[in-house]
Amino acid sequence: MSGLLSLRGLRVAFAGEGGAAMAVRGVDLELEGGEGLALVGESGSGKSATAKAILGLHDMSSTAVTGSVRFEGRELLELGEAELRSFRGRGASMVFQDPGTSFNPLLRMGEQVAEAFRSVAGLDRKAAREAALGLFSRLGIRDPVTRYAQYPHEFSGGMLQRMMILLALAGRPRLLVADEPTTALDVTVQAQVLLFLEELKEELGMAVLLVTHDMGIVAETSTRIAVMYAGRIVETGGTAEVLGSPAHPYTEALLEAMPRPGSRGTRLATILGLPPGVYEADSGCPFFPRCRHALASCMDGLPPSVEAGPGRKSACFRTHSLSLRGIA
Amino acid sequence: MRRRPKAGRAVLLAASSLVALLCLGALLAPAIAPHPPQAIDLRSSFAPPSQDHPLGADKLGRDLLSRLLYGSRSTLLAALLVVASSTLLGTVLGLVSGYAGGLVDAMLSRIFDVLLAFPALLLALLIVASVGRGMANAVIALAVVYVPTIARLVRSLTLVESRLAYVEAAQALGYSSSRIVFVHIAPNVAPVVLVQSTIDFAYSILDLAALSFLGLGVQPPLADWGAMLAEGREYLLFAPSLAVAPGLAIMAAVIAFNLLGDGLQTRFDPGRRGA
Amino acid sequence: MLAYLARRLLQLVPVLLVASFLVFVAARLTPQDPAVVMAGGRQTSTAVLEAIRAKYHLDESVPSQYLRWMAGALLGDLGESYRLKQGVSAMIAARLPVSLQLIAMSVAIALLAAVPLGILAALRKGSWVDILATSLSLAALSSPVFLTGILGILLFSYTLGWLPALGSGRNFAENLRYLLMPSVALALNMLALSMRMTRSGMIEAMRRPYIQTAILKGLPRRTIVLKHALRNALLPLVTITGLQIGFLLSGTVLVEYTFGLGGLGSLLVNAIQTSDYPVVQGLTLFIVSAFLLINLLVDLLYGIIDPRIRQA
Repeated sequence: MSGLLSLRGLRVAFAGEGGAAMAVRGVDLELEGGEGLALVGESGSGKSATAKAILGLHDMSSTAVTGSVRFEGRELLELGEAELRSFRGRGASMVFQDPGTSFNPLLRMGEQVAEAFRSVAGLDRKAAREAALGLFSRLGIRDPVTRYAQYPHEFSGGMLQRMMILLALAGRPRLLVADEPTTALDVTVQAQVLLFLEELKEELGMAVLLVTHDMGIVAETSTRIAVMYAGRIVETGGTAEVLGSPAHPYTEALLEAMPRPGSRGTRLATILGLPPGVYEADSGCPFFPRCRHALASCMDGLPPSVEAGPGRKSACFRTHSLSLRGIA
Repeated sequence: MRRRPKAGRAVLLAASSLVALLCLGALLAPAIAPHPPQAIDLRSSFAPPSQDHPLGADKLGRDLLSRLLYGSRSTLLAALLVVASSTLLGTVLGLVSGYAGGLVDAMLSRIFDVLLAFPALLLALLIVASVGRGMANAVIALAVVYVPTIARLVRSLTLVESRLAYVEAAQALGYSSSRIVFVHIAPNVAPVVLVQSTIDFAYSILDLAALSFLGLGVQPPLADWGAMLAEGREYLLFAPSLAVAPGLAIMAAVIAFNLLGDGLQTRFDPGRRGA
Repeated sequence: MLAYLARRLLQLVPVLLVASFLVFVAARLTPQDPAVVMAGGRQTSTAVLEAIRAKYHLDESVPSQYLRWMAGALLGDLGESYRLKQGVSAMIAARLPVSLQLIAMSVAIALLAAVPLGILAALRKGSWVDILATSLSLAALSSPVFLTGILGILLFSYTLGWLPALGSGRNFAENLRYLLMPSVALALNMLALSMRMTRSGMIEAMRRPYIQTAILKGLPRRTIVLKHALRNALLPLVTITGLQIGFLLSGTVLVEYTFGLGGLGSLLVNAIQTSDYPVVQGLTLFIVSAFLLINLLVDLLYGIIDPRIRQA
């Protein structure tokens, strides 16, 4: 299989109050066509900044994106605005966290959906309207013609997010980046939307990069997982393997912090301490202050990413000397 | 790449320096003004700038620079009185209205509605027309005009605050309403009120000047920027500085207080920096 | 929608009633005796003053005078000027066109300049265009309209000789020239505030996720800015329109006085300066009613722009 997406040494820095805020500090990541990969980490770990960098959505006047983002062999960071425009929606597309704000509150829903078909799929006005109405029907919306003229606030969050997904897929992209697509939704609706996403992935054969902080939904949706901490990927591997026996202490801590059905008591396990700030320079392993397996030698430089089994990597000095607890 | 906080600090510094300079000029006017502001000297009628009259003299030979310096006193004092009284009254009414709710709130709100139904300067004109012209009456008129805006603002802030946990805690502890309102809530609305009153200071300088310009505020021969501008307007063609200089003085003072308001707002609430 | 409009209009009635009573009482509080004012301020015999009082019902109680005045006002009769012995309504009607044209020209100038400038400043945030526009807007917000007016007269009338310094023309077309400088002076404040609101609204709107959605659709930047961001950016501008109209009406008084225009503003100032209270109270009532009605229209406009409000 040839790689669909390849990130090499990706860095994203925002102009912030204390200088350059380093949100992403050198990310390497591979994604195959049709693959489901989960990018997991705490909020502030740089996962959303990574996702936005793939689509070139950062505001370039206040953000520096460096390194390499290759999509089907093409370097995206070198694309001009016009090339980027034709890439977005057709090569790769994206779904955002809050469906309530992903749509323009002052424009009719039908127009917003049809607009995507006109622009991305190149349909004329009439065909785009038909396509949009078809999309409404597909979602099981009764009386699509009336609903076509309604505004975003008249739709439920779950419905809006499914529309957003279909809209993002209007140009048949090979990659869909879903940035916390269910975080803003009710728990009952979350599962429906994830299932919907899964069905579409099967149907269209696209790759999905799911960005989430929720370990619970990773297992159901993705074959591979990449764990991100303080702007870097600290562990990658097959989902089952990583969850079963993590190789990096941070992954272990994340799994422990997961609320599990069956675990009695309401003790909400959290990872003690805070990740390094975005302005802090590197000094030793970034997870050192919070790591229960840390040794004094962990302060000597950045831990390199090493093989941790077939198809697995971990950026920990003690990868081969630790045996960590996962979830069955 | 932007560096707003630093720029914000610079703005605040520049604005406070300007305000300090204005206040210093007003305080030291008797010491630094070359002439008494009312000293008539017909020989220097419309005198051009010279050693004796650095900015020239008006029709009656009164020294322009001295009148400008003394004019800053009446302008700043009047604006201070307007802002202090309207802020005090407006804050108290807003706190009471917001915390008490019910009939008190409804009645106060209707009164504010009526006052806000008048364009600001129009209401001031109406009050001056009714109580008579002069600086004291202009101050009273503008204070009345400014009260409803402040009261509305404080009322909405109080509504928000009274739903917060610290107020409920104070209620649970059995504190009296007046204690809760004036000891617990008031300090929390103070920053916003401070910003608003700084901006009101700028507006009241403008409005006071407008009333004097229309001949309804400070009366000649007293030195006042608005009144000087109105007088100077008659000789615009051959002595433009008589009207322009006090006009620029007004503008400089207003800019200083506007900038100060902007700076304070950024300082207290960097997120909500709007217009 | 119609029911809503009716309800809003009904809500205005008590406000207007109380405001009109305030206006009436304010005019009665004055130290001057209206009868003396009407007699021309000279020493007059008590008999003459009594006759005047009887003729103008000044001998009645304040409430009954108020009712008489309001009854007239409802029928369009706002009383008679003490000085000019003319109907106040007719005086207003005669002077309204100049003020209306002045305000219309100002609003047009302000908005046509403010919105594009605000968009430009927002999209090039931190550039010299932005810094210049923001600084100039502070200067415009801080400059009294009469100073701007005087500087304009000095430059464009006395120095360059391009525009007339004072007065108004005989018809609409002539007035375009006569009112140009006054309307620019009046517009500057509104222009500056609108520019700032458009700018901050635009910056805020461009940060919203729906703009990213629009970018994902591969829409050209023009469409993103004008179709998706601008509407949202203009909402805050509409909310402060009431404030703006207040400034505009107040500014009209000053501008007409500065440029010697025979509109409603200078009528009001003259009436106050000469203690002509029927004119003061009639004109104030007229302006307040207009102000309230315009504010109501703006609220309705807001509902038309924002579907969330419309359906709430």
